Amino acid sequence: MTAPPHTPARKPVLPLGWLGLFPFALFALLFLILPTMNIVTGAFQTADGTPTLQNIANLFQPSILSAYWISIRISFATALLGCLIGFGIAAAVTLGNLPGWLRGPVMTFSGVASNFAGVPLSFAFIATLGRVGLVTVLLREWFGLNLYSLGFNLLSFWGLTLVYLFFQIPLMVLIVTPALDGLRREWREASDILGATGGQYWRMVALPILTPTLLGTFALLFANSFGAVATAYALTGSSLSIVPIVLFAQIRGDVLQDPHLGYALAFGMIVVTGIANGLYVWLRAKTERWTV
Amino acid sequence: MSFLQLDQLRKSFGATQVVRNFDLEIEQGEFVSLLGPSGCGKTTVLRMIAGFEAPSHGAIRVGGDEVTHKRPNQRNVGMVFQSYALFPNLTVAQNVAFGLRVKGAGKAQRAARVAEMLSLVGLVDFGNRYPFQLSGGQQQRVALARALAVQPRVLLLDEPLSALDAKIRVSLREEIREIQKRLGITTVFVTHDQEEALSMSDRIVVMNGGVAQQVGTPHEIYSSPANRFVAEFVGRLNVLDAEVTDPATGRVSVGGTEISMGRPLGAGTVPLALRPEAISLGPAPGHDVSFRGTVDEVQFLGSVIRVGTRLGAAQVLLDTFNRTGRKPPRLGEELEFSFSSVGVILLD
Amino acid sequence: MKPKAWSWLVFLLGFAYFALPLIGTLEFSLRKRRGEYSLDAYVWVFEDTQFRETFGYSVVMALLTIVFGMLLVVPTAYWVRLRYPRLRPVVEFITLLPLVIPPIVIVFGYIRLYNTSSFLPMTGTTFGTNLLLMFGYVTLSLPYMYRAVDTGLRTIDVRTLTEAAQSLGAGWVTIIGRIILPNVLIAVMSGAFVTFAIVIGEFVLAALLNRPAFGPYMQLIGANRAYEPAALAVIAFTITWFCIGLMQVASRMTPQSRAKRS
Repeated sequence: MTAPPHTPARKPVLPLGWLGLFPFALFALLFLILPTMNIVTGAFQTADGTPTLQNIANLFQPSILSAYWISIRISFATALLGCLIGFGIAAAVTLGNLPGWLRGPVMTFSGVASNFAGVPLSFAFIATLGRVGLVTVLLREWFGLNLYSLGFNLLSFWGLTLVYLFFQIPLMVLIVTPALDGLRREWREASDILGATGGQYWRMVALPILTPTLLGTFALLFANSFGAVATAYALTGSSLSIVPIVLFAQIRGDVLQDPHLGYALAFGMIVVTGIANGLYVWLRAKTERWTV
Repeated sequence: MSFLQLDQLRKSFGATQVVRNFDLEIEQGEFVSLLGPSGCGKTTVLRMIAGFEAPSHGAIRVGGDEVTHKRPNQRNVGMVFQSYALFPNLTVAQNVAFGLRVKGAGKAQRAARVAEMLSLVGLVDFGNRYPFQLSGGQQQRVALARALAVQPRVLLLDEPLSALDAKIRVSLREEIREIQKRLGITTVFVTHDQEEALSMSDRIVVMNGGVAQQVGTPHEIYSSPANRFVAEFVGRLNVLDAEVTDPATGRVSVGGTEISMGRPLGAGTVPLALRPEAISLGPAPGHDVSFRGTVDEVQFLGSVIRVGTRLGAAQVLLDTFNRTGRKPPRLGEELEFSFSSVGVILLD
Repeated sequence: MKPKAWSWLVFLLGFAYFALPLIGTLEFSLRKRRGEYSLDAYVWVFEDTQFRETFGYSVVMALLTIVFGMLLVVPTAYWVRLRYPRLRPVVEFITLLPLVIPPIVIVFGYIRLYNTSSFLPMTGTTFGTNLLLMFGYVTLSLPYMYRAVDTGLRTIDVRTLTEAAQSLGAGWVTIIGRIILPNVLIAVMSGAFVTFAIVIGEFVLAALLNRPAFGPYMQLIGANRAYEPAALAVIAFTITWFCIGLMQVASRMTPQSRAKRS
């Protein structure tokens, strides 16, 4: 609840009130909006500045399309699995009557793990599921199970998905736990006493109430995974062609010669995450008619 | 045989016993209030009837069926919560239809029942609104309609009025009572507000410390409280310490004023209680005890004037109607007061 | 009530998934010496001058980011609450943009916009590049910083405090420095610890701006050595754990933040 607005007895003497927002506006303009706009406009210009759609058209070559496709698939899979598993863990902690003391550590760990993306995370998985990693070795020695001969590879779609989930799941737990706490006990009881089963309660009351949060988290997880460079780069070098890695290589000047294709690649990333978030806003508006 | 039977109910949370050997029989169509301070176990009793808490011991029977171990969704009981507990994602009509929908009732049947219920609570045109678009009083009426829509055998009301403004509280309690009478539904009402309990109930159960202190009609509870707790919790009370002067005939004396209790008493002092409205200014018909006192407090409350004086060591307050043409007593004035010894309550 | 079986199952599966990589890393980092566990990998790392240099660089960067971020975010959030509540959704939206626009795109924009031939050739000098990197980190931490500070401000009555201070003759610097900041300090600190954790291990910005930070160093070691990366991962994880742990302690110390959360 916000305090009701009230007019102060004596208005503060404000020398040029808007100046207070000037530093932030300037910063956001210089280091967030202009750089992004620069990329967007660059995507529609040739090297000498004339408008063109050629850069965008150049995106439609098989190698780049497949990079986008695998990126989108990985982001979708990790966002979806992250949401489902994270929801499961959050539900276990909030609604599953686990001992109360578990909750604090789970939340703290989620805070840590959701920020534990990047280079060290890839090291952790190499040390665990790499060819000489602990789990790989133990499975071979104890159960005679050779993961790699079964087709598992850390440097693959599912391998990367498994790694990304390490920060995706905790992010979901962090966001959805307060939302689950927001489900009031009386709703469940009212539903019970009106004769509904647990399933009916979830389908007709709890999930509709949670939907906006779930959608928002999905969009966030998608963008989170779509833009992640460090984890994949440290894990695979340049061998797995996902979009951020292609762009990374392009910026370093390793692979592509045409800088404006780089603009187009980056623009494409903005479009994808933009669509994901646009979808979220749209779905949220559709599902959330019942709040102000 | 009564319709709702609570038989030797007990409930402990860990080492604390919140309800102890609670017995209650409620007739079909009766409106019974559980009245008591917070923590007295009244809500726990209600939640055990609803099935949200399992009794540690005892049995609950509705219409002869034992429901003690049935899940809440199999009891066919209606409940209205203090916080309304309307589903925020459903419209008013969908909220009211919820119970029928989960039972698989057809669309036409649901629509008819929703219309009937909304007209019962006076919200016919509100079917398409969402709960957040309604006032608290309207939300609570929707909650009532939702609870009644499934034609429950028992209606449970868990402090349904305490989140509302004073004015709406009074009008809604009249409305609830009227609907309850019209439908003839057996109702258990939990409240900590004695005025609500006194004005709405057929019978009141006053509870304290998990134990029923007294069960009776509002009049019985108010006029002949069974013990000190009931007397003090329900209504205002002047408590006086009286010296027993004649144990055999039950005569006592308070600061020189003699009162005849009309029954044998033990020797020593006994605590007596007098309702403020039992004392009058000047003599009154049937008032056999009178005393003189100095006015030491005057509170003007509109239709009523509350006057304070001393009787013996204690201050007594009395309520007198404000009559036009008669001046209220002044501080320091010496007046004659009287009351009837029949109205004196002997506290144990 | 008894815990439900499914919740234990879910919890234990999750526990295994999150614990195994950590155990695996720890075990791996101790394997450097053949046939027995040793701290050799850690010794190698701590003796490496590059480790000390890059780690020191990143720590300084993180601290500068926190200071600059606070100077930027606290007055802004305060000002928006006090004078422009209607602008709050706009400002909030801007601060959340870094979660939507991938960091690699943002830094790409920097490289193009602030190169040696641009109107503001920041990448032309080492100092300019360092500054640009720091601004980049402030941008990345905006979502966390702004939210933390704004939540902190919500728990105090900004307007009343301001008016009370003004009626006592305080100026704006005094009001923000002596009244507002101490009251939201714990919230600010929780934002600061997240920022620290992010900056310490950050890779993309530092790599593309070619600065000798800890993230690129870890990547380099990862590409060239066997056991040391695991040791670095353990170190990085410990630092993150420490920061987030401090943040949680800090946020728990705000009694109002719980009561007034709406």
